[in-house]
Amino acid sequence: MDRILALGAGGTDAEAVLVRLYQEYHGDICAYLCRLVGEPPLAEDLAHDTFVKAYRALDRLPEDANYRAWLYRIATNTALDHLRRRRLISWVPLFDNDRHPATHTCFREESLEAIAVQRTLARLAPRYRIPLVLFACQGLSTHEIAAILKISQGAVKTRLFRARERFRRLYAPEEVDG
Amino acid sequence: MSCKQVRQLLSYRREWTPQEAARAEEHLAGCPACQAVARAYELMDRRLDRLPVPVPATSAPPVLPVTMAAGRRISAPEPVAPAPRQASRGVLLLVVAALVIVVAIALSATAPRPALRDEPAAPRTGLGATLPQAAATPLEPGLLPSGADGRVTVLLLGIDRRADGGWGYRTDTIVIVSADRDAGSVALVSIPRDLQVAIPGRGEDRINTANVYGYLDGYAGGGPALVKEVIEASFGVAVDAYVVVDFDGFVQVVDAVGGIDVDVPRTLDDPFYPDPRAEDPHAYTTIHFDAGVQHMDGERALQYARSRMTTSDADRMERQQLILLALGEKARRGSWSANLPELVTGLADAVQTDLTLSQIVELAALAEQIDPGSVECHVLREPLVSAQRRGDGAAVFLPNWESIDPLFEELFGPLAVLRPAAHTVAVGESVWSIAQDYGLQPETIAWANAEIEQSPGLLAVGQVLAIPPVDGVLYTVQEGDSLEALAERYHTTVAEIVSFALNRLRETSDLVPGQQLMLPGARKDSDDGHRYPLDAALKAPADAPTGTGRFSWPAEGHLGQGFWSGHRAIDIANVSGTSIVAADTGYVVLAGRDTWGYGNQLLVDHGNGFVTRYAHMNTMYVRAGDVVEKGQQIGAMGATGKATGPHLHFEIWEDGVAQDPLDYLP
Repeated sequence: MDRILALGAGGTDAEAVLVRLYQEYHGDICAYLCRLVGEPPLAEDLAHDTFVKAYRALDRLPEDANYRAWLYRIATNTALDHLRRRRLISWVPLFDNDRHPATHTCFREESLEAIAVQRTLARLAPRYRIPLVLFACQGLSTHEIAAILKISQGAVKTRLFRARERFRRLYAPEEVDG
Repeated sequence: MSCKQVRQLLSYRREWTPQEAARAEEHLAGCPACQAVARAYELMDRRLDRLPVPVPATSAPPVLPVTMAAGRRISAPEPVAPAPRQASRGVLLLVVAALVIVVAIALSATAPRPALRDEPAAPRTGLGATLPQAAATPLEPGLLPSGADGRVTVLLLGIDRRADGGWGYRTDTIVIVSADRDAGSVALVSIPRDLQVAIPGRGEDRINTANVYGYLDGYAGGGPALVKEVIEASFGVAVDAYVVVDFDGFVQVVDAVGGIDVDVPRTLDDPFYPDPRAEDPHAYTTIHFDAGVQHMDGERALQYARSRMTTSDADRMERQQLILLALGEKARRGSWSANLPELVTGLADAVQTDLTLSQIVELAALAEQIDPGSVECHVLREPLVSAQRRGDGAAVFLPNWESIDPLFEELFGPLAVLRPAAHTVAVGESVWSIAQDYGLQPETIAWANAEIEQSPGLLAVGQVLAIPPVDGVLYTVQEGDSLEALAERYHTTVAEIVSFALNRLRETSDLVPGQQLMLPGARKDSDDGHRYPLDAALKAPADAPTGTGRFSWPAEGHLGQGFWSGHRAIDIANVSGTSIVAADTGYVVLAGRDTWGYGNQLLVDHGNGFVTRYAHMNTMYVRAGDVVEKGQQIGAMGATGKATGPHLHFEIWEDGVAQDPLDYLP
């Protein structure tokens, strides 16, 4: 809380904008982060950090900015920062059988699929995972993704393609049963 | 285009330009390998899209993190509709309770009821002394509600609410509990919260929203009354009472009986169990249940009943039933029922019911006799329901009535639901014969089936017909219909329509487009399309021989279909090739193949005002312009045109008016 209070900047307008952004995008950003990092509590924390950063940067943002892409960009960088800090080069799979020995016996039906999907995502490098999640889960366009990642639209398409090819090879729902 | 280029295109399919689409489609048409990739990507998209997101959606407006709002005055955020994706998940469930009833209801027939039967005065007096001021519930003579069939059916509704006022929450747990007091059997049926059903005043929607709509729309009796209505109309079972329980009520009930012992069939791990706190309303906690018999207090039982993120809704419904059974078991063994009145009073804010207190007490007394093993449990899961994504993206279950109806019929006896029977037309049948089989007028069947109404009397084998329950007009409500207008249009009265119980209507009810109504005794002004077959071009010459005016049977056989407004003829059925003779002397004005449905047909003008038609013939032995004698063979029976089997379709017209041939035949 101190951190926030110390921010200082920002008048009522900034606050009002933030409230609206929060209302509109908090759910999406949480979902996005959860799909990226695979751990809901961590995703909640990162979403919180995302909005704090957004609040801090709001006065530097042009009025006609695409807020959605901007928030996604902050969220993406927040997630990457966090993971770099933890020196995690390859991302930790969501459910590790050693840590949760019983999970595979209790996940059933559609949730089996969810676990398998989340696990497969976790095996993709961030450079592929991020565009795929943005495109397929969050419903963003390649144009928006290019803006978020600051790469060309062609590069987004190439990464999407590689992400899909890797996903297709790695996806193995039966492992969850096993 | 190379395969690789096409696959690159496939990876962002929804953004294709028309040119890209054309190029890709062209390649795909000739490349099975790329087709397989296209399918794999499509499946991938679906899997990624339905990845659950463990973010609790709340019906309350999103709240700024406390850390952000603290110390700053931020005006209350305007409510924003939650995004559909969020809304479809997250909101977790709720639960059930009312052990009281569940159990209680059971076996009332077989159970001796010493407390209430032998000395009814004592317990009632005791209760009466302590309770009236405590409960808003009226204390009435202890009479269990039950239908004429001796069945008591109670709806258990669990709402997603913690403390807090108001009852307009979604009913994420819906269990029908029904006891047959004569047979001594009990059935539990869990209804999935996402089942798509017709909700009066709201069209089709998820069943768990009915409670909310009931309050929003000011439905008489509020949300539970509307839920009851929806259950009755959808499943055809009569509901005698309801019990609504929120989370706290559930916890209190379980704690009041000293906790329950549940035989957990499978280990349950849920790292996403909601654990809202003041500083973070979206917080989660991890819960874990080992397999085997576990003792649970109220809070633990609630966790077991609510957990959803790592399992399916069907699995959760099963767990809720296990809890109900465990409550039943506890009820049977424990001596807690002496404390029931206090419990009920304590639950006043957490439980809502239209049962009176004394009814509950009576149920509870019966509960002690119950054998939980006699309870039959069902969950409406696939294949009884089919998962489907609605137009707005919401995941719902669609009911498969042809599978659900027999189950309910088995459990609850004959269904009282307005769902017309389906009849598949067999060889040799006619609308008339089908109507006779069902004890209905043929018009009733014609009016209920548009295609029959338009070409009456001409059936195809295999065609499926809707068969209304009684004579009258089976009507599907259209936008803008009112009861008054319908009554007038179909020559009946509003009272008549409302009095038909299966319509489940009141005089003031709003009609829902798509809703089916039975208008008993009503009739349509129908134009049957039977035109006088002769015009000026088809007229016997003046010198043609004239008929005798007395007809003989044109063929031997049995009466396949009689004369009615949709069939101004009789059908004489027999084997193919049966001889057909002229019913009277006359002049053949038409002999040919009809494209409308008559097949090979002859029209004979008898020159005395009478005209006869012979249709569906296999072979015709005469031609237009021939003169035929009464009794002369004119053809052989067949099934040409639209016919369900070999028969002669025979019409008699007198001065341009179709007559019932049976009135003229010997």
